Parts: sequence; C-alpha cells; structure tokens
Amino acid sequence: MMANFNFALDGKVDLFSLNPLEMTNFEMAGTIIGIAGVLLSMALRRSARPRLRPHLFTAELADETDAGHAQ
Amino acid sequence: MWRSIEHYGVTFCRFYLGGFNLVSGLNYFVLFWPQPKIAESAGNEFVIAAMQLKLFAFAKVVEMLGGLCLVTNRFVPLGLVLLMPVTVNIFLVNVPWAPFPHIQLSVTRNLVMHGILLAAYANYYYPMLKFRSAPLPVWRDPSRIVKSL
Repeated sequence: MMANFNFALDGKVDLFSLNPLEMTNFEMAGTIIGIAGVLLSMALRRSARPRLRPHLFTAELADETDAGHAQ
Repeated sequence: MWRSIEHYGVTFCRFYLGGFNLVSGLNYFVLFWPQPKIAESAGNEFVIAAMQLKLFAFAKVVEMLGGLCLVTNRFVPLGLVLLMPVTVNIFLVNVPWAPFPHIQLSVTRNLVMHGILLAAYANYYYPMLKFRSAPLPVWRDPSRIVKSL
C-alpha cells in the first residue's frame, strides 16, 4: 500500500498515513509532554524575570544628606 | 526572536524525546497501552532474539532512565548518550525493513530530534573530540565526580 495523509478521530492509527496528526500512543504522549514542557518553560521564564532584573538604587538610599539628618 | 525559537524548539525536542522514551519504557513493564505489534519484516528476528535474550528489558530500563533525565532536565548530556544506541537501533531496524511509512517517519523524526539535541548540548561533548589524550584515571581524584555535579 502507498503512503497517504489520512487522518481520522477514531483512535485507530493508519500506519500508512504520514499525517503528523495521526499518532500512535507513544507519539501522542511525547507531543503532549513536549507542549506541556514548552508551556512550563515559558511560565518559569516569565516568573523568573523580576528576580533577574538588575537592582535599582532609589533616591533615598543614594542621598548622603539624609544620612547626616539621621545622625 | 530567533533565540526564542531556538530555545523553545530545543525544549520541545527534549521533552518530546524524553516523554516518548519514558512512556515507551514504562509501558513495557506496566502495560497501560497495548504493546506495538511487530510487523513481518527482516528486522523482526532481531527484535524477537533481543526479547528472548532479555536484552529488550535492559533496553527499556535504559529508555526509562534516559527519558527521565531529559524530562527532568537533569544530566541531559548523559541521558542523550544513554538513549543514542536505542534511537539508532530502532532506526536501523525499522527504516530499511518496516512495511509501514508511518513507523519509518516516526523513527526518523526521533533520530533527527536526537541529533538536534546532541548539537544543542555539543559544548559538553567537545572534550571527547580531543585528538591526543593521556589517561586521567578516576581513582587519582574521585572527588572530581562530586565537583562536576
């Protein structure tokens, strides 16, 4: 039989189909874990952004006259 | 933008290959899905011989370990080296002989993803390309194992 691009939502894999949506169980598991991993990586990168920003010195901390008043 | 595509592309390949191998290895022992049927082909006898010699069980344990390394992002270069014989063997057994185009495409895709990951983590393999090397035995300084973690 020749290769084709068949795709059906019946749960049965046509092993002659080259359609990427037609997946065996292991391919489906790999795809789901792959997509979940990419989403997790995006979320972790976003949450790490505030932690990775450089420290900003505010005016109060840099002002030497304030330190003199405190004494 | 290209850096992001590169980063997430490598991340997808790592999770896909890791997930595929981890689930394939687990399924051999736990059997939550039916085992794939081996097609009538020249590679068939090699797979049957491997099963009878218990090599298949050993290969599945290696698949699980390698898959776990990739999915958890721990010891990834080691995981890729562990999985290389599995990926190459599956490719060589199926692509020339398997009668199903879907299987041929699937194992080729796995090999390509494995190659992409090896290239992405190439920095850790450069020391292996040393042209001339003298032995550096582990027993001289065993603490290097812990230091490299």
